[in-house]
Amino acid sequence: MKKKISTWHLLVRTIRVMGKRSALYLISIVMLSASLAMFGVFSALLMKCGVDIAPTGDMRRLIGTILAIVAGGGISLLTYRFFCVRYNVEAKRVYGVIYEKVLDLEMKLPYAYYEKHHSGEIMSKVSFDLGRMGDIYGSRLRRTMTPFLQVVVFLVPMLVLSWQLTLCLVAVNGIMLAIDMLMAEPMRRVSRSLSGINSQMTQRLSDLLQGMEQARMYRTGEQTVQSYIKENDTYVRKSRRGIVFNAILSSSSNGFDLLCMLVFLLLGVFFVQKGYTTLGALAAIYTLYGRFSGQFLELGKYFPELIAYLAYAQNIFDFLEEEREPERMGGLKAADDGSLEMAVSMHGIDFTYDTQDELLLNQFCMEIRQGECVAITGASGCGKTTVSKLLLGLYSIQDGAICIDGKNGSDMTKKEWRQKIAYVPQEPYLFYGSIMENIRMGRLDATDEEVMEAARLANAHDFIINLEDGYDTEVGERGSRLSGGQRQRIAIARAILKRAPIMLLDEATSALDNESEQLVNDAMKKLQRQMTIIMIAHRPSTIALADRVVKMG
Amino acid sequence: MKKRKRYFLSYMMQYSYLLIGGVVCVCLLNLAIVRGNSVIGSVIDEMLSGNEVRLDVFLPEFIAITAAGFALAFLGQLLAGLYSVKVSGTYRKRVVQKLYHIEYAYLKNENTATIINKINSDMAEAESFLQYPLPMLISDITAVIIYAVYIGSMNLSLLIVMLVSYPAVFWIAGTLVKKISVLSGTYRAKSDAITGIAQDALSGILVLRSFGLEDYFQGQMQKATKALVDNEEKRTRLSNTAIVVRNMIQWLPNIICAVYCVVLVGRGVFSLGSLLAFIVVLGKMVQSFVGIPWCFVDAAGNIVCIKRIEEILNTPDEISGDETEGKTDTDVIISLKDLCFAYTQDSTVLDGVNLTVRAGENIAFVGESGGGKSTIFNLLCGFYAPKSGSYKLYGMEISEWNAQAARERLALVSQNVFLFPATVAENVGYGNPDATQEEIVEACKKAQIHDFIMTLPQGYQTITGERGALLSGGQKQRISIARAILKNAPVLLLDEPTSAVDVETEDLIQKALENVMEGRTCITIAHRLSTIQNADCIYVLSGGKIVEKGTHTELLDAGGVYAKMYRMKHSSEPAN
Repeated sequence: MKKKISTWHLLVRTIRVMGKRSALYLISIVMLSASLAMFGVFSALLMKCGVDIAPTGDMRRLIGTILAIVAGGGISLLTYRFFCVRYNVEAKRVYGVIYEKVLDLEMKLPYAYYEKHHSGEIMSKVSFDLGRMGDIYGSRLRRTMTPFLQVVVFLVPMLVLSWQLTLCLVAVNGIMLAIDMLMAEPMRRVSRSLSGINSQMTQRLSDLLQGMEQARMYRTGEQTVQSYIKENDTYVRKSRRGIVFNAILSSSSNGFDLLCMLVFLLLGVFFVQKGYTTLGALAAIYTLYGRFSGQFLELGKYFPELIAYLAYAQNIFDFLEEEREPERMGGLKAADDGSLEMAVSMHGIDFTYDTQDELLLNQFCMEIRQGECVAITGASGCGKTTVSKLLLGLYSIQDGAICIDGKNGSDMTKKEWRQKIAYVPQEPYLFYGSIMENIRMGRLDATDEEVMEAARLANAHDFIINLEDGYDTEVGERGSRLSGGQRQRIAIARAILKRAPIMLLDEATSALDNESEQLVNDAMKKLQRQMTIIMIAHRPSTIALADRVVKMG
Repeated sequence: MKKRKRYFLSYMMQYSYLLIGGVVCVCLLNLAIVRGNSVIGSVIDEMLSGNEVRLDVFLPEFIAITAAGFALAFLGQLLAGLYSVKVSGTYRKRVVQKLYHIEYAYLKNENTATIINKINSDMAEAESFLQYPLPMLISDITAVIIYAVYIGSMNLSLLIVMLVSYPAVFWIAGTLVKKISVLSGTYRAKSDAITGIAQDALSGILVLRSFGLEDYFQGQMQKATKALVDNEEKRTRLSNTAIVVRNMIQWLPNIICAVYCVVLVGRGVFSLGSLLAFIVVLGKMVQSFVGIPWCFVDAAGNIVCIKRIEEILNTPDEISGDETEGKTDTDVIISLKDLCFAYTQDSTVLDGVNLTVRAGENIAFVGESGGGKSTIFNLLCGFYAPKSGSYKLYGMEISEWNAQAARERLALVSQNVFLFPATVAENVGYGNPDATQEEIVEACKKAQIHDFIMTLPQGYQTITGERGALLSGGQKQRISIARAILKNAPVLLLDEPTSAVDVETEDLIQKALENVMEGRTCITIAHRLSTIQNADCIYVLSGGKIVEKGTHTELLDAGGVYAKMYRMKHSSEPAN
């Protein structure tokens, strides 16, 4: 019983997402169902008048009636069209609204969340769960409501025409619906296990393709293919069970169609002979009944589906309740006045990622003057990268004080904080779009000239204008159409354009060959004195640029 | 040009007996429905003529028909379902096997994520082709034929009236359907754009956050969803107009036929019972008839996807012969003669490379980036075939070698280390599927990575993150070395990491390399000249040619390209 309530609540909650527009949405569904059903009723009336008037041979009356009915049908279809458009537009609009909500959260999760969760997991929420939740608005809800409403609409004239016959027919259909409902749960189980195997198969495929070099150099690649084939066989075997259920459904729908004909035949004969109903009414019921049972079948098919889809909505609601990154960094204390003259000062920082017990940074201190160029070095695992993440305000610390550009970290929101730092990561990420757009992300209101100026400073301008489309060159997925050195220089241009007082480079040259490294280092030389530069580095040539070296560990 | 093979079609033919069985069942089912209707019609006629309806005659027949209906519907659906599952299962298997043997260039040129998405979604489309449009089309067409024959047998002139009034419906429905399918296509593209934004934001989260681009992306998303809603408005306007038009048109022949029927009944040519049966059958027939163009549209969408998979299947395999042993009586392991290669038509990457590697030798390549060093490795591994010249491995041409057998001889430690999303042990064990746990640990010890692995929370059972994100470059490199040790191949191809690692890690890697090089023939691509001073021969590549060769001292004395590189390196890295 408890589960039923929660399903109902979930449905209400799903609809509430639309806010005030939900009324328009629901009215549209009701109206489109009703007008569709009305069209069915008019169709049946056409039949009835044909059969009833035909024996009288009154052609004029026949044609007049037909015209009236066609007009009615036309009007109901136009009504249907109007509401169907409204409904579809509302459905897509709410899909957009939820998508924006999810994206908003996706961008604002605490940083640790991204490190702990496979990006595929978040993306599957976005594309798989959200897509299916969108289907609830776009089709599932209507598919359940429309047959239900239509059944009601059809029932009225049928009952008026002959209530005895109608009730008998409804009883037979009830049995059919019950059989379909029984099938729903095992079918859902089959499809759930199929999607499980399918994701395994996708993983093999991804191993085979992403690790293509390894797959070919080692015999294990062959084994991956074999495992895929084995899983494929399981998939086929499991699918067969689904097919049997499908066959039972098809059998019940077609068989009951015939069975109902039989019931109809027997009862019709009986009722007409007893004079309970006219032959015309019988014909009308018969055609109405065809649609009625069709809708009944739909209801049996789509109601369980709707329930299943609500589970996806639940996933999204759960996701939306994930904690967001806090506005300000946690654990910060106010710094002494002396620290406020520094570009960056970190005092008595205690820090650990929550999984480890031991402190990674223990009373860590560092001071960097305005306009200084500092290299931070040290063995891997000593906490260099951690320091850079703290400078970006990605984690809360246990204890200590941080000042950035003469402001107490505790007085700033993270947004203000990050405005003061231009960051160049080890693996430069370029977004989908052109080079121009990518650099401009450093400062969205920058002019084309300012973008090019930044590119010149980053030693990127020359290679960019030599590209076929220059600054309009599309960078491809993750900038795949450019070399590592080119991507890095674009990332530096982006950071320059930001005009932040502090630039932070996290091993920016470590993945580059000598030539590209030289170009990047030249760019850094141009920037010295214009801003404070912090470089996490271990290449001697990069370290040589620095005014001062901070050795960690 | 070799004729393209149609794999999908051939699998469809292979299992066609299932489909034929299913079609037969559907035909019989339709016959049963028609028969049931005519029974009802004749009962009504009996009734109207005032005769006693003889249920004992009708009832057994009708019960038999109903029972047959249950059985036939079950069997028909079962066979059609089995057909779909078998064909698509076989097809999937074929595609994966193909991907394993497909020429390397195909995979390199396409983005792997794109291939995976393509295969997943196109495969689903291929499956749904077998599940929906194909059986629907067959059953719709057979239904139309059977119903038409039935109506014709009742009254031939009625059939003719019907046949004349329907093509118009068919035609109008067809044109509308085409327009709608175009809009559905743009809908897909628009919703893909939305997912693209979400994906991009997630992958670049660090940059996004440090530059405060949240609002920018939110704006992009709003634009994209607005485009989607606008498109949807247009699409539903059109598609619902189509529905209105279609339904109204559908009525037209209905009315014509019904009026004509009434005329026939008035003349006494046609009984009222037959009229009722006719109307019911007509309704079913129209349903099937109108469904046919929609089936074609669905099928057209599916077939585009199937064609894309067929394209993959028709891409050439990598070259692979029958040779599995090679010549055993020679100590020349690798010999390249006038080797030329180009990735595309107009750019030469390797231009007449000659060299010989004997068993136990240790040789190295150096040169500027883009000089062709990595390309030589690609050729040595048989990922690409030489354009001209010869590459002999153990005295046999590479084209004669079985690709797998040739690679059994080579252990590759590349820069581009891929870690599978699996445990560390599984990742190392990838080097040899038969390796025991002890052997894996042994290899890790030799690769100087064991101590690090033991510091991980679950040791060897720790899952390495997506693309091995949890491990540093140096650690990945050592895992790759451990794999190579496990593989135990006689020839080691080593592509040195370009990325500098800290001094401590460098020592570990150096030790690991010494372990893996021991007793093997080694070919190294060197980025830092410090590591190859003991090489037996250093080849300097420039512009696809070998411009200098000799030992470290010889080359320094010669005062050429190598000597210049060496000096530059040492002036830019004063700390070394």
